[in-house]
Parts: sequence; C-alpha cells; structure tokens
Amino acid sequence: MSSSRKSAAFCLLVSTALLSAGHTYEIGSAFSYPCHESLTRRSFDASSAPGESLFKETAIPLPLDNSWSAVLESMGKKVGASYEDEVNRFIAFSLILGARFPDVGHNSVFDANSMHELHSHPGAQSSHCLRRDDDNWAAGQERALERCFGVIQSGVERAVAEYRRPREEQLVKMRTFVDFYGQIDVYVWSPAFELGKTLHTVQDSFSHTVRSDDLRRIRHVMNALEFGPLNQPNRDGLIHSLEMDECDDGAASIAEVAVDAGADFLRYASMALAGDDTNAFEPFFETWMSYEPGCGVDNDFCGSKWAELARTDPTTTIINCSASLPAPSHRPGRRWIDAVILSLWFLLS
Amino acid sequence: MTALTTQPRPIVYLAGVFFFASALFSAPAQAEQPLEDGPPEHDFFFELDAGLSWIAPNSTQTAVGFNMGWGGRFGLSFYKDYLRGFVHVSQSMWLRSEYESDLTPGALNVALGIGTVLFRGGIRSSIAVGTSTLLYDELFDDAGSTGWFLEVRPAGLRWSFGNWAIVLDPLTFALMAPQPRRPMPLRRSEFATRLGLEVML
Ligand SMILES: [Zn+2]
Repeated sequence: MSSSRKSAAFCLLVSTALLSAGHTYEIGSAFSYPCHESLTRRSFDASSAPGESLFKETAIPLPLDNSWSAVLESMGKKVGASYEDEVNRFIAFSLILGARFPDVGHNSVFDANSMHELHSHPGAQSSHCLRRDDDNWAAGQERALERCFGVIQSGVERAVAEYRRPREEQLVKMRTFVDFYGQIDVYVWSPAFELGKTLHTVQDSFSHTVRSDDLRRIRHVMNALEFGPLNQPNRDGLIHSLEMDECDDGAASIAEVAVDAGADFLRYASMALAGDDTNAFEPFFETWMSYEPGCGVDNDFCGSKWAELARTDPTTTIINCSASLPAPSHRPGRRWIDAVILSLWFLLS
Repeated sequence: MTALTTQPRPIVYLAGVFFFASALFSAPAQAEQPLEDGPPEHDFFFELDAGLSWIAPNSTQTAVGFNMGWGGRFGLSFYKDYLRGFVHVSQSMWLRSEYESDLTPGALNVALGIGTVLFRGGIRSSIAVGTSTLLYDELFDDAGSTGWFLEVRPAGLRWSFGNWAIVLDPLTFALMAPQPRRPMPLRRSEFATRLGLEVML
C-alpha cells in the first residue's frame, strides 16, 4: 500500500485529519515519512556554509536538562539531524519541533480528536497555506494567500520578539508527545521554535499551491476542506493532492526547491533577528511568494508543468466527512471509538 | 472529575459482555462432563500463551498502543481447581509509533497470582501482582529499571482435552510501570487478547 493510499485508508476509517491525512507535507510517524522534519533540517544545513551555523553567533545557552537531545534522537535517522556541535543540534531540534507543531501541537499524531481540531478548523488552514471553505473564486484565493503570507510575516515578528528577550528567557519549555511517556516538557530555543513553525507554512506553500514552472510564483491555492462532486475547482480551488505531500516520492522535485526556499527563509529571518528589523525579511516574499493572477483551472494554471501532479490523487470525498463531522466530543469515552477505528486501520494497513 | 467518573465504564461493560458471552458459549459445551470426571483435588499446572494488544484506551493522549508478547504460568490448583496459586512470567513488547515504527523488547513481568476455574472448567479468572522490568534503554530510563505490574484476566474461555486445555482470554488488562516515579513515569497499559495452552502435570 503506497503512502498516499495508506493515508486515504486511514482517513476513511478515522474520519479525521491525521498523519499525512491530506492537509500538509507528511510528518514523521510509524506510518509516514518525516517530510517537514527532514526538509527543515536540510534547509537549516543549506542556510550556512558547511561547518558553520546561521545562529551560532547568538551564543545560545544550552539547557541543563538535556531531555531535548533524547527526543531528537528518537525522531530517527530519516530526519538526519546528526550534528557534532551541541548548539547546532539544539537549534536544529528547536526548528524541527517547531515545524511539527502546526500538524500535531502538543499532542500525539494518533490523538484523533486533537488532530481533527487542528486540521479541519477553517481558521487553521492558513498555517498550511490552504483555502478556507469560504475562500471562493479569485478574490477568495487572494484572501487565502494574504492570510498565508500573514502567518509567515507574523511568525518572523514573533521570532524577533523572542530574540529581544534576555538570553536566559529564550529557553522555554515546550510540551510535546513522545512514545510511552506521553506528554513531556522539553526545552527549545524560542526564536528557532517560532521560525520552525513558520517554516512549516513556507513548506506547505509549495505542496498546497500550483506554482510557475520555476516554482517562484504562486498561481493557484488548493482546498483541503471541500471535496468530491460538490467541489467546483474554479470556485473552491483544486482539491488538495495527496501526491503533492509526498516529499520523498512524487513531489520530490518540488520538495528540493522548497528546501532552497526554506534556507532563504532562514537566512532572511536571521538578518531580521540580527537587525531587529522585520523589513529585512521582505526580499524573501519577493523571491518566493509573489502571486501571479489570471491563472486558473480553465487555462491549466497558465500551462504550469505542475498542473498534472497537483491533480493526482486528490483527497477523496470520504475524507471530507471529517470536515463535516460535528466537533469531536471531549468526553474520554469518545477515545474508545477512536481507538477501535484506529485499530482497524492498523490491522488493515 | 469527568475523566475519573466516565472512563472506567467501557471497561466494566466490556468485561461484563465477555463474561456473559463466555458463560453462554462455554457452559453448554462442558455440561456433559460429569462432576466426578473433573480435575483431581490438587495438582500442578503449567501454561504458555501469547497475546496481542493494539489500543491504549486508558490513555487520554493517544489511541494507539500496540503491544505483543508471550507469557508462562506455573502453579498449583486446589479444591478441584476452584482455587489456583501461580507464578507468572511474561514479556510485553511495545511498538514505537510516534516518530518511527520500531518494536521494542518492552518489559519483563514477574508476578504472583491467584485464580479460579468456574463453570465446570469452562471459564477461568485470575489476578497477578508483581514487578515489571525494562528490557532495553528507553529515552529517559535504562534497561533494568524495575517497578510494578498488575494483570487481571476476568474471563478466559477454556476447552479441556484430558490433561490439556486450550485457553482464550478475549480481554485481559495489564498495567506495567517499569519506572513509576514522577515527573516522567514510564507506564504502559495493555488490553490484550491472549491464546494459550495449559497442561495439568
Ligand atoms: Zn501543514
């Protein structure tokens, strides 16, 4: 079973957005490739010359509690965050944990209720550079893009604000979920954590849009909430493609460019940090986030060579039931239902 | 408060359902067996079993908790098997799933237990309490870390063939805590289905 098919089967059974469930580049788990994590690590590596580090000059104090190191280790070899320098490891960890955050928050990827809330709420779509259900036609698409850019801009501003705090206050505890221990608190370097969260949105702006051939300009924003026969691509936007989320497979060539964009993002963001000036970040938008109007479904997104890929393996109508389900109950008993459904999926896949 | 009052209910319901289902399907099968043909006054018994669990329903944080394992029990039965005392040894292997897929060696559980066999040998119940020892290095704990273990097998179906019996526990519940201390306890619950072979020696 391919990764995308597995995702579809999963969504069919769980009726919620989970793992790589059609809302984002995949994040690492037992059943999915760690796209966001590995892209983030690769962007961090590419953002500076070999042997150097973008934020090394900031003299980050390492926390005495090194639980973060064990958590980074447990993320596995596919993430590839192996650094000899402890400060570099800590920065990479903070970025990677931040990049996972929009998908999992403080929760387990198998916490179906939390994942449902994180992914199916219209207000959460902008963190993944996707349309809300009321973002119709070209005007709605522009609103969706404005919100996506707003998430990126405000993320950099938050990182700058964190960076202005005294050094020791930049070490903050972040609650995260690990196997067998459940939710634990680990230290992160807060500016890097904020940048990691924002980098997630930058990465999704490649997997959830149709871009120009050189992947510099955005021509179309996709929709992960409205599926099936009721979806009108001209009005609602193209249905989100599971294939576009496969950073290690079908969309690998797009992911390669997303790594370059991520490295640029980190370089410009570090300039903004160093100068306390978020305007230093502007060139990033000009280089990677310009909007090219007039390209839609009818003209195949102005003949974009990515159009076919974007139409491959669309999120199915069945998954849409997750978005139309009533808000999940917070009663603990509800988790039994999730557990049984997840178990079935586990056995079937 | 809500969690405390509502969460155990499904456990009770499920245990009840299995208990009555066991009684329903097993008792008639054993009904033709006359009482005098039952097990002797007291005897040694030995059992090997294997189990599978894939949910962690007591957790409020994740729905998946895949465990698999094996176990053995050796003990003495009294009063025509109405009472059993035994030593329990089991290994529960845990699947890592949050970042990567990896079946860990899990924990080795050693316990003492008591049990009973009812419905003319058709159903058995038991409880065991003991220690749980981590068999590998986990994120924040080393192999050898030892805490406590509790296992309840409310209603296992039992089919006898002479001195042998096949035993199916539709639902067993185990709590193991190789490292129970805060702030980061290592605890694992297990709702398992187990299949075993039992012999009266
Ligand atoms: Zn995303």
